[in-house]
Amino acid sequence: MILRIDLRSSIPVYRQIVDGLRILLVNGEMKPGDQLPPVRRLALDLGVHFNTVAEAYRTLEQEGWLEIGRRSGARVVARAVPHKADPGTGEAFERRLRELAAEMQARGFPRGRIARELRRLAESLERS
Amino acid sequence: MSGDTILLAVVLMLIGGLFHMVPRLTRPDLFFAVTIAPEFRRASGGQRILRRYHAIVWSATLAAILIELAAGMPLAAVLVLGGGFLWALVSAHGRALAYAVLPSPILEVDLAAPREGLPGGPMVAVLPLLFLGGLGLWAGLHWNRLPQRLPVHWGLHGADRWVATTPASVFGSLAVYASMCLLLIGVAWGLLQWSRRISTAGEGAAAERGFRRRIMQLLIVTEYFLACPAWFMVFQPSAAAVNVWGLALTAVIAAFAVSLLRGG
Repeated sequence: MILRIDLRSSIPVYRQIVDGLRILLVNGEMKPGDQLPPVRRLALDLGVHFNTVAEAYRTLEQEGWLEIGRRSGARVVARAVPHKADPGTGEAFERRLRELAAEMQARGFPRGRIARELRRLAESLERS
Repeated sequence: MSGDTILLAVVLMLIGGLFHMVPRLTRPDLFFAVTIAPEFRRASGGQRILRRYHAIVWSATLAAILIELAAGMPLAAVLVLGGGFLWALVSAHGRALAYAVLPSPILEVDLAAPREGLPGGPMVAVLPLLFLGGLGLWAGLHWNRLPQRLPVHWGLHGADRWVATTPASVFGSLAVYASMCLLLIGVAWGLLQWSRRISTAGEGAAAERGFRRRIMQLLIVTEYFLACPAWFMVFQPSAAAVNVWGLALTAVIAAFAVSLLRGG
């Protein structure tokens, strides 16, 4: 269960931590009851300020993935999935997907490869 | 040639051996405080720097031993050995800089890594402190049973330096031993809580955990060895008992050094 961040990336480190942890949570690699490393431990191992990790944990807490206790640390909790997504949110995510595909193209990824990656992602989503 | 001279020569030789191993006691991506590609250590460039470092260290060690054996100048011998070691380090650092690489921008953490703690639990680390506290209490309650003078240094033939028994000498010495134990606990705790993990997954991470655990064990065992002289000071056992302590300490340090080297 590896969390990976890229210091060269234009994406802020805090966002990379949130995104990386969310992938593990959505895929079920981290289950309710699992304990996350303490903020200072994770910050030290990643070589980032502990406020960066604390902010990432708080974001995931607000999304309902984590419960943060003063002494017990961050723990994964069972999250109630919203029954119906907000239509506005769907449009925003679609736009982000298009933006991401455009960015990949701009960085030199061939269209065929982008399409293959998206298809692979769609298939894994359908399977899960 | 006196026994002390021979003893110091042996100690200088052992210190030289320790300096010889120093380049191995670091992360695979660090070479004389320079970030390098991990395979560089085994490449010809790395081996050349290492050979030169060893040559300087052993030349300084032999020079120090000769100074001690021929002229009986311990301070000069130690300075020559220390100076040679520093020169070897600075020289190797300068040469390694030519092969420096940028650290990887990709950082990884294994979120499922097992939680680590002090070996044996916090009580094992705190026990020597409690022992020293108990010894201080005993000394306070049985002040009249303490001898007129207390040993503060031991040689091969038993105690060879003494101080008068006063509250300052008794409780001051115990406080010094307790401070050293506290320092060792602090270092072990810092290693556990505030040191950065280098390998995040697989065998590398397991080896690193093992290395950290062995270092913490060494620190805690050293605490127990530190508590013994306080007991010697108050109860003054025979020279043989003190020598057994000295031999046991040497054996433990040697065993840990071998264990660390074998663990990579």
